Amino acid sequence: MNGPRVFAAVLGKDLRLDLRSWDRLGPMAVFAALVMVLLSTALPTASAASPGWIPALVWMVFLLTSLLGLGRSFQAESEQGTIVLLTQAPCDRGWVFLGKATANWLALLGVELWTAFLCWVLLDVEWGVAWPEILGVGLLGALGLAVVGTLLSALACAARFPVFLLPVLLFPLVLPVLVLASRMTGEALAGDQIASAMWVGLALYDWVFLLIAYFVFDYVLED
Amino acid sequence: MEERLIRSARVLGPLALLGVAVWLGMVVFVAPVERVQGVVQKIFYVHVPCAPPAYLGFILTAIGGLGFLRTRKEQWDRLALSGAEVGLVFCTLILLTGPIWAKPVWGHWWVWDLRLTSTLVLWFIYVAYLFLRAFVIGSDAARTLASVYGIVGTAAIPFVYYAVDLARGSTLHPSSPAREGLPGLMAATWVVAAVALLLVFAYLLVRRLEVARLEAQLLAREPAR
Amino acid sequence: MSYLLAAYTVVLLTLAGYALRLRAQRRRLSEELSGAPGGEC
Repeated sequence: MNGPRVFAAVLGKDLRLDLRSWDRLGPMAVFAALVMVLLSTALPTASAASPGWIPALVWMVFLLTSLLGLGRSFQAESEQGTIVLLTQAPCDRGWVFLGKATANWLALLGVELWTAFLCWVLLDVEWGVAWPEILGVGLLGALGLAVVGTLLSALACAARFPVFLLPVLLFPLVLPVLVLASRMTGEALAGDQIASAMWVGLALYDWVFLLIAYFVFDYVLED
Repeated sequence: MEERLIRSARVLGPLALLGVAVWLGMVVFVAPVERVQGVVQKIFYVHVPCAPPAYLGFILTAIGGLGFLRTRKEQWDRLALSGAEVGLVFCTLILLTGPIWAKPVWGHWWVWDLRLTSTLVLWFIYVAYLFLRAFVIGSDAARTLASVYGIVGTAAIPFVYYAVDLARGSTLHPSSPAREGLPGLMAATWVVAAVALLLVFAYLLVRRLEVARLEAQLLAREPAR
Repeated sequence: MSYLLAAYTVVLLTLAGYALRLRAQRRRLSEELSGAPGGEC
């Protein structure tokens, strides 16, 4: 069983699970909608101040929703004992991580699309203004969350109260994603040019943590 | 190696005390009173020098984590844990003295500026690390996973700094001594303060290592746990 | 001025307190170790 095969197997399994049972994507979608409704109701309507806050709010909603999904990514495995099988794969266990992270990334992208739709409906956000840039930010931001989130959820699921521990572990580390992504989204919506330093920063973050997680995952799956 | 470190406490203790004495003496008698802020400005000599130990603590946690993952020797993990605990103490002190300084000078208890915010995030990373250690089931798993988080957490710090810089733009925080160039006596006091607190950090670290070692020895002794 | 004193007091007390706590832990653990091995149940 070589690396890429393991990657494909893990990715395929997780995707099939997600799409067949909606066990994970369903609650995430409902949660995102609920939070958006609460926010839209609580926010002062159509004030000059709100547009500046909207990108940050959207990314916060997205982060909170992703918690739900990430928490589930290893939980089901340990319940079914599949982790044992995964860890016996005689190849680099980093590929298992890549498979899981990619599955999570795709799930997050789905949630992003849903959240964007909700923003369009509830908050009148005109995504079309700069959609290539916003798409780029969406892809890179979700990737950062998926990479760090997948790694940390593997850590958290070995603990008591993983529901509590995952956000505690995750939030400080993904602060850069939150800040960069909301900044970049805000500038794109306002029609400004996004500084290339920010693209580099976000991409670098994704790349650095992808590498770290890939190499470190061997140790994570040992338990 | 660990034993030598632990034994150095005998030297570090008195050295640290001496350092603290010199530091406080200089703050009171040598450091000039600043024009704009007055006497309150002297909090500078206790707030800023807590930063090197705070960050050093986390670096030691990362190094300890790497060492443990590679060698599986618990000594490394004890270093990581001690670095985290003592570093957290100094990190907390930055966050306590910062507001005490900010209030009389700027009128607010908290300012969302670059350095204070980054330190606050570092504090949360420390706490997360300690929670992880406490909550993971099984002590060997705890050590391994904590080592991983220590490494990942340290890697995040430069990005956090950059992100907060981006978000907060201009800073209310007085610029660092290195950039502005402190007048002679202030610089001297600052250096002495930094050295003194690093000595205190080293002493506390080594004592914490000893406690960790004793605990491990005790655990090894009792087979039925 | 009171702010200045507060800041230094907080720092010195905290560091001293932590050092004392470590010392107490050291003493207790050393005693337990040098006590009868496999002592009480």
